[in-house]
Amino acid sequence: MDVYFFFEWLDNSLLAQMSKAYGGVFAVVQMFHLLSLALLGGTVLIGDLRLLGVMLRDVPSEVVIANTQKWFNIALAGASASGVFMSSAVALKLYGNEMFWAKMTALAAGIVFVYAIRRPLLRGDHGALNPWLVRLLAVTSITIWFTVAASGRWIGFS
Amino acid sequence: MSRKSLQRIALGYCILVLAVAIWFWSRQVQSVIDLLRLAYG
Repeated sequence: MDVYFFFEWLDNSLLAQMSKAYGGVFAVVQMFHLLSLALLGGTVLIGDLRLLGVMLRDVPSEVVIANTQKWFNIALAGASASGVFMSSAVALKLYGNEMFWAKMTALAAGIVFVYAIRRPLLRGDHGALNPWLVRLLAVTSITIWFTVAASGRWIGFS
Repeated sequence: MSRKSLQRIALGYCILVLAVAIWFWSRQVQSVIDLLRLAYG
């Protein structure tokens, strides 16, 4: 399915006009994007390193996961909203960028992973799960979100 | 969906994601090595 029409529409949208015309607005939105990414990375690392037994071992992992999940949701919403705005400034350029598609694929894999697998599994007692599966969930989560962040940064160099 | 089948799906998904990530990043590292070879011989 070709989605070029969507990028063409985004390039001509009001968002694109604003992001291209007002550098200050773009910079502020970019700041929110980076803050959201920092929050997202922080919640992922705290939750997953707790699942791996690396940190916060005196706090039950159920508590850590429940507390980080709500901040993760906020961070993901913030990063997505600011990301759409930033993308609008270079929509047609991004369409042909391999690393942009790598980032979007990793992001889609991450969203499916978090909301369809990780969250439902970790909602209950973690002691009832196979400890190796819990570790595998943590490693996969770190890998996915590292790929999202690193391929996002790589867009600027490709 | 039962917790047991969700665990099975999680296992499969994790293995698939990790395999694709290893393939993807090894490809990126290889492209950087090729570029450095081209630049510095």
